[in-house]
Amino acid sequence: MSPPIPDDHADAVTVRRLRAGDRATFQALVKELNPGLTRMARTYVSAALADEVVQETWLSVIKSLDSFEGRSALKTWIYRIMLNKVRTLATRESKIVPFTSIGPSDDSDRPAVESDRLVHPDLGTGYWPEAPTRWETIPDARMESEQTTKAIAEAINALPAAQKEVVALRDIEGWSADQVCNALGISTVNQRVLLHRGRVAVRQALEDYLS
Amino acid sequence: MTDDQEFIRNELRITCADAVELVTDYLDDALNQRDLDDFRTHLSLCEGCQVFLDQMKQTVTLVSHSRNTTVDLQPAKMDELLAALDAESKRPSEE
Repeated sequence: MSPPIPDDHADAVTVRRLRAGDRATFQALVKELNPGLTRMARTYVSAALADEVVQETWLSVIKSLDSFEGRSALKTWIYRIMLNKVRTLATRESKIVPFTSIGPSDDSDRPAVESDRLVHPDLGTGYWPEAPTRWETIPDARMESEQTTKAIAEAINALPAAQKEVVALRDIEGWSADQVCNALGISTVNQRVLLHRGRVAVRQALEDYLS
Repeated sequence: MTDDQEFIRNELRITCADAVELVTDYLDDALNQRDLDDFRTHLSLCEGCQVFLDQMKQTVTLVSHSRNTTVDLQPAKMDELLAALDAESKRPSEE
């Protein structure tokens, strides 16, 4: 017997229809979530493997629908299933091809701006000697070019896994902080630290690329 | 430190090194009132941190664009999934 979903749960109707085998509801759900799941999985493993992981995720979702208790949003629950699969796979893969481990494994203490850049001749350490170059002076064509997009993708891929997950969900998929905490099982403070470190690293990579 | 330097540092409230670490919390409306006051005051006087804040906002915007520019997303193999859905919903133990 499946656990009952509270009537006021946002996904109650969807889950009941899915359990009843409603094809249209399932197809709509796949259409909505498949691109985001695939993008996220591709930050861990190759595109081909990522597609397989997402396909397996959907099969697991179908088989596990009866155990969904409605303690989180359906979307969050599905992402957690995908993340469990892809993390395991990435760990196994990294023993053969260390491509998920490129970049610093832990830079949680690294400052947002390297301390040697913040030395003002009069005010001393901790202050900009002069403002960084404004990106507004860079032509839009360059900012929005394929190469810039590629530089951003590389910077995200080089992030430590925990930062990459938070940046991908917050800034690519557009999730709220609460949704991310829930899907990844992390605290509010931890979420903000990981997001900050990740964004700071991508900003730095962009600055290096654009200068 | 001269009186002038001390005056400027007091006016800035916090160092640039501290201000740049508050940017993400600021963008998330997650700063407490005191940090928010310090951050805003610092920002109003510091061009370097204004530029840094703008660049962080631009970074977030550019990262969000990869949502639309990711190439060649394969659709799910729907036949296999629908067959599994049918099989699962017909299992007698379920209801």
